[in-house]
Amino acid sequence: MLARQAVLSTIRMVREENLDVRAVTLGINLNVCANPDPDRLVEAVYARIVDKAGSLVRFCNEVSDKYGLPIVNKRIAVSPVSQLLEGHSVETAVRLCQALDAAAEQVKIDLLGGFTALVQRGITPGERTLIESLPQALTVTRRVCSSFNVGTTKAGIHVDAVNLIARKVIETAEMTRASRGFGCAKIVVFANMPEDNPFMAGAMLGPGQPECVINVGVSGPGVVKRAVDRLVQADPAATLDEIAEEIKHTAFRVTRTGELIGREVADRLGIPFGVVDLSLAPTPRVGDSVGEIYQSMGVSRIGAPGTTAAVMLLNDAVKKGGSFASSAVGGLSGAFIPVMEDHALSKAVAEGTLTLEKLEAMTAVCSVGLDMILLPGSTTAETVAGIILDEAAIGITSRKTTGVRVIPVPGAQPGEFVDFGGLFGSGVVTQPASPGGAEAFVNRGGQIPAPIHSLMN
Amino acid sequence: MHAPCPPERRRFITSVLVPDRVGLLRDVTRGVFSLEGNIGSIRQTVVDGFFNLVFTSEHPSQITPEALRALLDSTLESEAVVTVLDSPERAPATVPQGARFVVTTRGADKPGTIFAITSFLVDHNINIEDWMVEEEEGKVVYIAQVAVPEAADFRLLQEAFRDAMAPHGLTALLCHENIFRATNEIGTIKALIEV
Repeated sequence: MLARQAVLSTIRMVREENLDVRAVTLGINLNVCANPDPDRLVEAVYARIVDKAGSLVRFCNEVSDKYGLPIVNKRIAVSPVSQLLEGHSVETAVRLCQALDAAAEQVKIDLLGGFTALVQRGITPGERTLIESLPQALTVTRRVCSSFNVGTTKAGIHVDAVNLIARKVIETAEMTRASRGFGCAKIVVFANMPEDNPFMAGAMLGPGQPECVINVGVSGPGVVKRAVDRLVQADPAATLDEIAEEIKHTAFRVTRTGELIGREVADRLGIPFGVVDLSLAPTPRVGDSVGEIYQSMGVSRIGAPGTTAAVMLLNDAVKKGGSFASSAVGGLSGAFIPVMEDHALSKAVAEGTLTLEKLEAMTAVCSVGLDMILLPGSTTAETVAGIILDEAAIGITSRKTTGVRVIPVPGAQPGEFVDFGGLFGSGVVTQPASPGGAEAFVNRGGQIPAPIHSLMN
Repeated sequence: MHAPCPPERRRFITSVLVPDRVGLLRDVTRGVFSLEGNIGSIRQTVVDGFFNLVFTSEHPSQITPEALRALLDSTLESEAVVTVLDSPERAPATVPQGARFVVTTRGADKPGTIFAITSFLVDHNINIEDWMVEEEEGKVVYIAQVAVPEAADFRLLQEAFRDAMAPHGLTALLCHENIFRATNEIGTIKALIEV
């Protein structure tokens, strides 16, 4: 018989603490679809996705029923689409994006990632085609997400690519003005982009991955918060190392849940299981917030001195618990700080206690970067490029993944409230303390060389 | 189940219910040993101060259930209730096999709750393999390990169970046991699924 406390604690996680599997993401390599004929290319991509993913939702639902555990999102991540666009036009890129969108709708998933180009050292014609198509592609589609890798610890940062993409972010915002720049919520720019990230908007099936694979993203900020609350309630003098230990234990259990679900879905599909990404990914719902965890730890005003240390503690404890739980931990695995998607973080930005600069500091110790941040409509491409460069610099120097997903809201001023609804959440427009002043630096372009510690051989 | 009992031996299944004290298991097993018995399966629990023991034992064929019962009656306290039966060679075929799930309900302590739960399980051909109760924040939590027929539609079963328990003021959940083992045991998930 199972130990009663084992049952009770697991039931509590499921019933009361919002434990769920945030994403089961099917990775599909599309390279076999490459074709110089645009019609055949588009048809092949659509057919391959529908073929490989036709049973994904059904199997996810079966496994969810078996364990009484919600699988919130079923998603697809494809190999970088830019690889299919060599020799093709911008028009074909847009058609391809629409084919991805249609396939996603056909198999009943909500988001598909992989409209991607890896441009950390150069831009091929196909990659440039994809980048040029971005504003239109994301305007005429709903489910497709786009991502770029502009820097790595080994390669440095490709500033020309950053500048090009930043201009496209501004254009995308303008083209999706009717939805307040929502197109930009589907674009993320990385440094050291992971190849197996199951979370959107940055999911893609990287080089070296299987033909098809299941990667799982588990979350559980509510579970972690409750665990910290129980500890602190039982012992108000609990020290930070004791809190770290409690988070680690909780992360272990959450990770194990994710791997169990992921392996079962993979078995049913007859494909390999890849990784479980244990990232504390919040939703706008109260009780499902990473910001609330910091508050439970004692950071009553998020953004105050000490916040970065709290982020570091949480991120590290999550990774330690996850790595003990499974040898198949990958993706981003840590703590996200997506401002709009976390009601406590969003509130702190609105109140002015959490600034963009503080968020940047926090990205040095969390698992991603500046995420779901609303910027004024007057934001220039140079400012966006500067933000990306700063994040990439943190990433390549610290040998970690960093990313930027910012949304310039056409016509919006700092302090203005914007609501995208659903998982994308809501928030207040913010801006850097000094929005301009580095244009000449950014516009020099070229390549920021790789840091010295990249010379590992 | 153990290997079939040799013709020169006889297998019994015995249950003992007696107020708990130190030394009960020793007293019972001494009695079994004195009748040249070898204990096979054994399980004990203590519920509200009462010791409950169930075990199988093999004895020489001339030993009768009555002899074993009389010996244990004389060894134990007068309040003890001892039952000894001839153990069948095979388990009754009517007990359904299936996927191992854990049923939990949570609600106020009131008469009829267990009857409601067990009635639902019987109606769906689900066998209870183990059962325990906990108190949590003033509520009673029943935890049962059950065997659900493999052909069952788990989604419909989940919904039906929730709907059936709701009028009794119970929140109810039916989950495959793997999730509890995964979150509380050290070992590879792959091995769990392959079992």
